[in-house]
Parts: sequence; structure tokens; C-alpha cells
Amino acid sequence: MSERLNNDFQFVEVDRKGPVKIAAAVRKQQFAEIYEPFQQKQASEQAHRCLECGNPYCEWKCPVHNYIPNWLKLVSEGNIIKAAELSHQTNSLPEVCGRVCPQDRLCEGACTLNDEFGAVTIGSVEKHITDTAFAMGWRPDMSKVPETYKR
Amino acid sequence: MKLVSRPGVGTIACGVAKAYADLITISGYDGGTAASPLTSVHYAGSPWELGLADAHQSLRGNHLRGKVRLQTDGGLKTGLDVVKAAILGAESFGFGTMPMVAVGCKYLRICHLNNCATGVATQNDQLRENHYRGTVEMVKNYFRFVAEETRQWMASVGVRSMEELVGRVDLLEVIEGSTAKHGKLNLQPLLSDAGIPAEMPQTCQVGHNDPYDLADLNTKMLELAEQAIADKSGGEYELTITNCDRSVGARTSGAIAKAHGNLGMQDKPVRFNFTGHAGQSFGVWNAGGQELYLQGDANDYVGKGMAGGKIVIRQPETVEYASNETTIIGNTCLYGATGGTLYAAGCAGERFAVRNSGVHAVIEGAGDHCCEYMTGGLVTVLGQVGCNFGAGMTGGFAYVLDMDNTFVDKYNHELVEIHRVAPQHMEEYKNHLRSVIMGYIDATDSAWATHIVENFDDYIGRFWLVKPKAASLGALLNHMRSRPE
Repeated sequence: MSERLNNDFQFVEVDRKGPVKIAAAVRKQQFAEIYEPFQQKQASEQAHRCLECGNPYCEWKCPVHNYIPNWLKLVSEGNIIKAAELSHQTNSLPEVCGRVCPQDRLCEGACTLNDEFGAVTIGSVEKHITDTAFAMGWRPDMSKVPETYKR
Repeated sequence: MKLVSRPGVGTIACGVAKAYADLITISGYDGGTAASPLTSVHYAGSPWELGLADAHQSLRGNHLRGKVRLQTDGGLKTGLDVVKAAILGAESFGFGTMPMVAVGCKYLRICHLNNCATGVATQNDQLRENHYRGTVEMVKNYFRFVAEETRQWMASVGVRSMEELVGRVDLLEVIEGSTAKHGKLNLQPLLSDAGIPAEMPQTCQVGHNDPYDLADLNTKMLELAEQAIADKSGGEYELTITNCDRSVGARTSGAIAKAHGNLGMQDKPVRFNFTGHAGQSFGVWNAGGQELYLQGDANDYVGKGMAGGKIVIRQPETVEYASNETTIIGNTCLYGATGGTLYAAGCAGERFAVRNSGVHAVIEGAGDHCCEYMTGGLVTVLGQVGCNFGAGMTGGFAYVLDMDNTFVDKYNHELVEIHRVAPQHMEEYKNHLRSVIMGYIDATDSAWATHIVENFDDYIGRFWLVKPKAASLGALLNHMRSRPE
């Protein structure tokens, strides 16, 4: 693993930068992703911009109160599996929320950095966590979930 | 004096008032906790209401309330808070969090990282220039509304001035409580006057809580040296000292630091030669450029917080006892000292050089806990030390003469390790130690140290070098030279 990021001023020195958008002409031909996925390095850099505010406004604004600063920190440290575990504690479909949530009005809208620095790319990182964890073979732990016979 | 609101704070407040504090702050656990760890936020302190009532009643009961101002803080936000605090006994009110919020604080709780995104709690120029939005008017505005609300509440209870309001516990009523348990809380002790007659003052009656000790010697020292300090010319003065003279040298140190900075007069020092027995805190906050020579002995806290300069203490020429067997300075010397030199020809008490971060000291024996929490500097002990040497020591190093081979059992093994100074590869340290003792002899004429140097080959094998485990042996001396405080 590369060196762990440790820069208190990451939010000043690194700008908010989401993943690359796929051209509309391409997207017109297919029913697929709008954005290219994050690379590990980029996800870590963006996640490390989080200030870890004492009162996380993002977490408070999120309807399911995701532990956003905590898994952003895990991603910046490269600990995807732990991040996925944590992300699934509050949300059963984080990869879907990462794609379809109106982050600009919720977590990213509430982000301390949103006003003057550009919010942390919370949605893209959320997507990145579960996608990467799935690709690594991780699956949510269902052993403790009781069967309800309702699906 | 700021006191944490907790059970028993009233007793502490009385002690502080007796020690001539002008203002006591009872600090509650709410409010500004920006950089504190969550464990402290959750588990430390208690509400200011409890501590304030306790302090106010205790001070009145002990006839001290009229001598000291009482302040409270801890999450005060509105005029109602001010009125309640006044009723419980405060005449001064501390606000931290709210004025900060008024100038733009978003309560990020990262004040300790210097990267406050609102530019409030940072030294970073870019953040301060581009992202700080606060103005004085915002704070003024906030306080104007607090004052206005305070007046409204005071008017509604029929009180005209703060003076009348302080201590009026009769204006508070106990509510029934929203649950059965809540209703059963006994709040009467908070709302009582503790049986103290009403004519005892409720507020501070004096402008200044004058101490009994007028610090005559300090005044005299400043008179003598005032011109020399102003001209930066140096000088030498003879004085006698008694153990009633406390904190000797503090005032002249202050004058030096004010005129020339902490270390600005190093090359032209003023020197005071004392004879007698020094009281507590001899040479406290000693500035570079002040040298205190004492023939006699000193009490506790010699050189507390000293920043530079020199303190030399040796026994009177008339005595016949051996200096290395006799105590010459008291406990907790050099507490938190940051630089300078201390030579004391005799033994020190407990906790010598606790939190020392830069002083070079030589003594001839020490009590327990020597070099506790030391982070820098050099301590040389030419004799026996007590137990728990070097507990929590993370910087600097020490030489200890161990005549009866007991040091291994005495030092605290957690953070420090010890080496012999005698072996071949320690030649550099051997020479260094010798030069340190030579410097000590020059200043004190110690017979014991002279004996050691004259028979250096016999004694060198009995010296230990104590260093933090984290420091490398090779770098110690270089580090010492690069920071020659």
C-alpha cells in the first residue's frame, strides 16, 4: 500500500474533482454508467479532503445517517473492506445511493467545505467503496439477518 | 484562577481567595470543547450551576466573598443564562463558543489542527485572508442582544442593577419536574443562603485582593538594577535574603524580558549575590541575562519555569558538613523550566527537574521522581537519587553517579534506558561529562565535585547515562549543541 495520506490542508491543496463523465454521445447508445469509476488513488485523495468536523453536518443531513466522515477516513487510508462494512451498517444499498442520491442537496450540500472549497465527493466515494469491495470478493454479512419469507 | 466545577470546588475557591486571587472562574463542563478529546467532553467536570453555588456559599461563609470577583463560564449563551449565573453568585460571565460562532465558527472541532476551514482558529494565512468573514461588529451585536435580554429579565424580576441581583437565590423557583424522579431532585442546597447572614457581601468589595507579602526584596532588586537593565549594561549587586522572600528575581526577570526579550541580555548579565535562606520559588521565570548566586540554601520550586540565565546555590563557607550529603534546595525545582543553568552544591528534594525542557542542571543528589516528564535539557546528579528516576522522560538526558550500584533498581524502566559512560565508544560523553563538572566547579567550588574530577578515572566507571529509549545515542550530544539554551 502506498504511504498513508496525512495532510491537514488537503482540502485547500487538492480541489474537488469528481470522476470523469462519459460523453453524452456514448451514453445515448447504451444504458450504463454516467461516470467513469474512481481509481483508488483518486478516491483516497478526494476522501482525505474531509475535515472530520466534530459535528458532521453531512451525517446529520443524510436521511439514514451514514457514518460518512468515518468511512471517508477509511478510504483515505485504503481500507476498503472496513469502509464497506461500516457503510453497510446504516445502509443496505450504498452503491445505489452513491449513484442516485441527490448528494448536492443532502450530504455534499451540508458539507462544511461546500461553501468555499467545494464539498467532498461523498457520493462517488460511496459508490467506489462498495463497487471495489464487491470486485475484491467482499459480500455483506447476512448470517445475522433473520429470514422473513417476505421477498 | 480558573477552577473546574466539581464537588468540593467551594473549598478550593476559598483557598485560592486566601492566596490573593483577584478573580475566580468556575468553569462548567458545557460549551466550548472544540479541541478536547471526546472522553473529556463526556466524562470531565460538572455543570457550572453546582460549582458556582458551592463556591459562592463557601466564600461568603468564610468571609472571603468581598475580596474576590467570581466568574462563571461553560456554555453561557443567552441573557437568561447570565441572570441565572448572577443569581447563583457570579458577577462576571465568560463567553467562548457563542462569540466565536458570531464571527463564523462552524463548530468543526478541529481547532487543534490549525486547518480551521472558517479561518477562525488557524494561523494559516490563506485561510485567514480568504475564508475568515468575522468582524468586531458581529461580536458587538451578539453581546448587545445578550445585554438587552439580561436587562429584560432583570426588569421582570424587579432588579435594577447587577449588584442587587448577585446571590438573590430567592428569585429562583423549583419546578415540579417532568417525571416523578425529576420532581424528587432536591435542589434546595443550591437555592439556600447556607445560613449566612444577609449583611455579608454578595459581591466583590475591593478593587484588588492585595497580598500580605509585599515582595520587598523584589522591589529592591528592581530599584538596584533598573538602570542597568534599561542600558543593557549589566552589573553586580550584594543582597541578603530570608525565607520570607518568595519568588525572588521574578520582577527583574520580567523587566529584562519586557525590555530585551527572554534571552536578550545574555551577554551583559545582571548578577545578584545573595546570602541567607531563600524562600519558595527562588529564581522563578528567570530570564536570560539574570544570574542569581546564593550562598545558603533555598526552599521549594527553585528555578520554576526559568527561561534562561543562571542560578548558582552553594553552602555558606562557615559550615563544615559535606555538601553531597546535605539538602540545599527543596522539592519540585526547575518545574517546567525551558532554558538556562542551575548549579546547586548539595542535594535536591523530590521531583527535581520535573517537566524540564532545556535547563542544564548539576546537583549532588536528588530525591524520588527526578527528571519526571523531562523533555529536554541535561541533568547531572553527582550522587544518590531516589526511586522512579526518569518516569515519563521523553527528551534530554542525564548523568547519574551511582556509588552503591542501586541505580538499576531505582530508575523507571518504562521510557528510559541507561548506559555506562566509561566504555571506549563513549569517549565523547566522558569528555562532555567532565566539562560539565568543570563548569560546575568553577561556579560553586564544590569540594565533592573537585574530588570527583581529581579522581576521575576512579569515578567514571560508576556514572550512568540515562536517555529516552527513543533517542539515539549518537544524536544526543549534537542535539544538545544545536539547542544550547
